Amino acid sequence: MKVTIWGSRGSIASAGPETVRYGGNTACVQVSDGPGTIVLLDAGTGLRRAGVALATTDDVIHLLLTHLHMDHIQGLGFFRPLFQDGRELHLWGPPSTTLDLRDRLTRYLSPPLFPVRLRDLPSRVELHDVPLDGWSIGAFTVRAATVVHPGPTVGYRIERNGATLAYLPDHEPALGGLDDQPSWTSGYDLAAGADLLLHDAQYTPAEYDERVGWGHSSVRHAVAFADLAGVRRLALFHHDPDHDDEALDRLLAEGRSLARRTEVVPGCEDTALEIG
Amino acid sequence: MVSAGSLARRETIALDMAQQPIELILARQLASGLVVPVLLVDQRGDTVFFNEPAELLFGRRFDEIDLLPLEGRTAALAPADVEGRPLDADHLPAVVAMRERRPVHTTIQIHGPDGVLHPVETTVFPLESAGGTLEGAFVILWSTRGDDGPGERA
Repeated sequence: MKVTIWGSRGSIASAGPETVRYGGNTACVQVSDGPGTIVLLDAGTGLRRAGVALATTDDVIHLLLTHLHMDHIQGLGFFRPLFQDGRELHLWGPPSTTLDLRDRLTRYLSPPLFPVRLRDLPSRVELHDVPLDGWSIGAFTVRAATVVHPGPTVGYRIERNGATLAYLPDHEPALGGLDDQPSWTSGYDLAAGADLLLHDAQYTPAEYDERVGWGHSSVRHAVAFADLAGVRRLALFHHDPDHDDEALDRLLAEGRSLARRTEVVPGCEDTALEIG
Repeated sequence: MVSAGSLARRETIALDMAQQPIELILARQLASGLVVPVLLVDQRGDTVFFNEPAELLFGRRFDEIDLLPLEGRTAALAPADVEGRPLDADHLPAVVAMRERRPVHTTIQIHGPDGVLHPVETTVFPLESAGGTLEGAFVILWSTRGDDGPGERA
């Protein structure tokens, strides 16, 4: 399984000379294992570049959204395959008790926020509420579960041939108690034993103390969560837009010093990670 | 109608999972910060958490146990109605709230660690997830006016 990070920034895109190594695009990750089916996780601004690459293929694209905050959907309007006549795409998003996925996405993909309406796209787009009991996409087995983050939000676990990716880009397990109790830890089932976990590591511990309840994690919490879940490799993800490359280097070093079992790696844009 | 027995048959779903549902995780966080005694029960009716004020009712700390089965809680508190008649499991407020998926507010009596029956007002609301799954219930036990409560006498 090949995991390509097209964007790993959180909250808002932050392009500039100070972020060139970790990247400035917001969340978008591609999961592939040969031709045929492509899974994309989230539609942040990194989706634009993914779309340029995928426009030359005829793979069926499944785009799995963790939630509908702007930094996770802003790339949709600039995703080239959406504008390809007849191109088959599937958009999956967390269920809501009030509006369906189309109605919620239309709030962005319609004037005045965006000139093109979802219904006017030439591609064949199907929208699906994420089932919370697992399903298959091509050769991938996918499982979603709600996690601690404001609003309906899910994380994903994707498996293929014994390799497991867990994706929890916006997650605050410390809010529910991150105290070595797996049964009381949000996201545990998704991450348990994963080969690779992409996890929210937005804050320093001091920043987290000022933002409890905002739905994100400190690096310390991300590492503690990964260790608890027995994750083999943790990629720090959803970087704070105010953290430049040097700040993220320091957070990476802190994460590595805290990890008991998990290997901590940087979640850099344009990185491809192989698992399995 | 759902009975305590049919609730019990659903337990395998929860027990197969290492992690509690997110609704229970967040409810536990809320309960931990409240001054009123609160129990959290899972979809079977087993007590999966109680807060420090509730520890006075049970006469034991939650950290000493992992889970208090419905039967164990019933044995420990020996709940009765206001007339003093024992309540069977199917008529416990939490079981009724989950079976009928509605809030329940009623006065019952429970035995404290002092062995004495104490009236408590009980408020229960079922925890139903966005997907429509019943995950458990949030149980608040209020000492009634004029009673010191089982905890204070324990």
